[in-house]
Amino acid sequence: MNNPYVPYPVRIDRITIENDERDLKSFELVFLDPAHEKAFQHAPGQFAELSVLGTGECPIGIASSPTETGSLLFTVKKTGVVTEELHRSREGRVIGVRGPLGNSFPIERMKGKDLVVVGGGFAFTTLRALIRYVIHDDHRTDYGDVTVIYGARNPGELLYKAELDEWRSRDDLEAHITVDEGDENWTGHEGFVPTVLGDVAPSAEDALIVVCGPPVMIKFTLPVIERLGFAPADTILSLEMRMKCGIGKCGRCNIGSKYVCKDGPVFTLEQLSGLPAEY
Amino acid sequence: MNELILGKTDLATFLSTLARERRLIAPLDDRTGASFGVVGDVAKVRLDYRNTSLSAKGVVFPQTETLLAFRDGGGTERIPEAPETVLFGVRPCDARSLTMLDKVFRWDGTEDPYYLERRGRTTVVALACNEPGPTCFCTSVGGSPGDETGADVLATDLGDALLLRAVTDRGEVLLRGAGDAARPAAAAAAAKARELAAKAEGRLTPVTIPTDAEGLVEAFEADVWSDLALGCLGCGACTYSCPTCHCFDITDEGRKGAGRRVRSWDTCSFPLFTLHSSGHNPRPTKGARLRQRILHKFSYCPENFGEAFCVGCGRCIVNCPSGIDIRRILERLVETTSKAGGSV
Repeated sequence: MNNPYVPYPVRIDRITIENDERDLKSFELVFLDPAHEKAFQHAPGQFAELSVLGTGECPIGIASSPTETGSLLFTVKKTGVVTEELHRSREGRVIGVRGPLGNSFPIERMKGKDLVVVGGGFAFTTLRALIRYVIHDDHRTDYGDVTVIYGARNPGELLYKAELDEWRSRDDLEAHITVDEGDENWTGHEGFVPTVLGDVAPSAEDALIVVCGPPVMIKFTLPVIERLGFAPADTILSLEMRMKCGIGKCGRCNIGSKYVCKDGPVFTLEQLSGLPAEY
Repeated sequence: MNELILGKTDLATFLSTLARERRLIAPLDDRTGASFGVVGDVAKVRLDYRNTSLSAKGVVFPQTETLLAFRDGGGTERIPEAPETVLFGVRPCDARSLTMLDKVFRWDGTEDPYYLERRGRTTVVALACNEPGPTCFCTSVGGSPGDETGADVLATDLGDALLLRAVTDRGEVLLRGAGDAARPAAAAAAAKARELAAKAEGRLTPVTIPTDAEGLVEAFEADVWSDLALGCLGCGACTYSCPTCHCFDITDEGRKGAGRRVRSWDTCSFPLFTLHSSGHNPRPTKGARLRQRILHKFSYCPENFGEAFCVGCGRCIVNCPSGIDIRRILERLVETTSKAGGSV
C-alpha cells in the first residue's frame, strides 16, 4: 500500500530571498530519487506538505508549473515553526515533500477562454504556476487572451520580480503590475488591485477570472468582479486553511461538509456561496 | 456452524484458546468501571459492565502512534506490525462505530495504512446489551442493543451461558478454532437472545434526531450555538471518549537528528485546532467549535458518508464536566431546523 504520510526526500537546490523584509523566500527543490519526481505529477493550483523532520509539516501552494521540469518551486512566508525552520535552511539541505495534494485550477475548462488572473501579495504563488502553464509554448494556443493583475504593498514585496519584467515585455500576455505605494525607483502603476481591475476592465465574455490574495483584497475585489459581469461559476478562488494530513482524514480544514485539502483548495465563488461562512 | 452456546464456566477455557494464537483485548477492571486492555489472565475478563469507560477505537486508532521514525534527515515509515487480535466484549454501539471509522480511513480511495493494518487484523466479538444505561440512545441513531453491524461474532449473555453467533466469515473462522468448549446452540437459545434484545430496546428513551439536510445547513446560522456552548469548558472529554471522533494531530518529537513523527487524537473543542499561523481562526468561539462537533456528526458526515457519526453510546454525556447533554442539543436542533422551514 502506498503510504500517503511518507514525504519524498528533496534537496533544497536554490533559495531566493523575495523581499526586503526577508520573510519571503523561494525554495527550488530537487527530488533525490528520479522515480519520486515521476510519481509527483501536479497541476497548477495544487499544494504539498513541506516536511522538515524533527520540526513538522506545513501546507504550501506549488509555485512552479508542471511544465518546469527538474525541480519544484515553493515560496514560503516565515510565519510559524516549520516555515521559520525552512527559512533557517541553507542550500543543499534535504527536506521532504508530500503530495501533490488537493484539486487544481480548472485548466481543462479554461481552454478556449480568455483568462484574467488577479493576485495580491504573496498569495501569487499558485497563480504563477497557472500563468507559467498557460503561456508555455505547448499550451498557449489552447487559451485566449491572458490578463494578469498583480499587486503588492510596495515594490519590494512583489514576488518573482525578474519574471514580472519578462511578462511585461511579452505580447501574448497583458501584465498590470501595481503597488499600493511606490518608492523612488518605481515607475510602474500605483493603486490597489480592485481599482486597477476596474480600470483595466477585462471583458467577462467567454472568460474566467482567478483571484488569490489576502482577505481584505478579496473582499474589495469580488464586487468589482461582479460588476464586470463575471458569473459566480466563472470566478475562481483558492483557499487556505490549517491542515495536518492533507488527505481528508485529520478533520480540521473542513468548511461545512467540504474539506479544503481534498475538495479544494480551488473553489468557484458559486461553490463557496453554498458553504457556511467559516473560513 | 453458525450459533454456539458457551457455558460461563467454560468461558476461561474458550478465551484461553482464542488467546493462544492471537492477542486478546477485552474489558478489564479499571477501578472506575471497565476498559479495554490486553488480557494476561483470562479470569480477569469482565462481562458485567454497562459499557467500557473508553470506547474500543484506540485498538485500531491508538491515542498516539508513530508514523515515521527519522535519523539524520531520512525518514522511515513505521507501519505497525499488528498482531492478529480478538477484540472481545465490544458493545454493539462501539462495534458499529468501527464501520464508520473504516469509511474515513478509506475515504475517496485514500487509504490510511496504519489504521487499515490494525483494523485488518482485528476480529470483533460484540456483546449484546441486556441492560442499556440511562444515557444510551443507540436505537435513535440507527443501532440497537443486539445490532451486529461491525461485529464478526455477536455474543449474548443468557445468564449462565453465552450465545455466540458468527456474523462474518471471519467470525466463523474464529468460532471454528475455538475448541470444543462451545457446543451447537439449540433454537431456544436464539429465541431467548432475541427476547433479551427486544426487552433492552424497550428500555431506551428515544431521542429525536435532526435529519432534515437543508434544515441542518441552515442551522449553521442559528443563534443557538453560543447559548448551547455557554457551559462548555473546551476540555475535549466528549470527543476523546467518542467512538466515532477521529480528528488527529501530527507532530514531530525528538531532536533534529533523530526522532519520530507521531499522530495523536486531537479535538475540534480546542481553539488551537484551527488557528492559522497568521492569527486568523475560522472557529474563534466555543459556540463555533461546539457547532462543528455537532454538525460534523449530524450534517457533514451524513452528506459525505451516508450516515450520522453517532452511535448513541452516551459517553459524551457521562464525561462532560459541565453536564452538556447531546440529546438536549439534538432536541434544540430539531426545533431550530423545523422552524427554519425544512422540507422533510
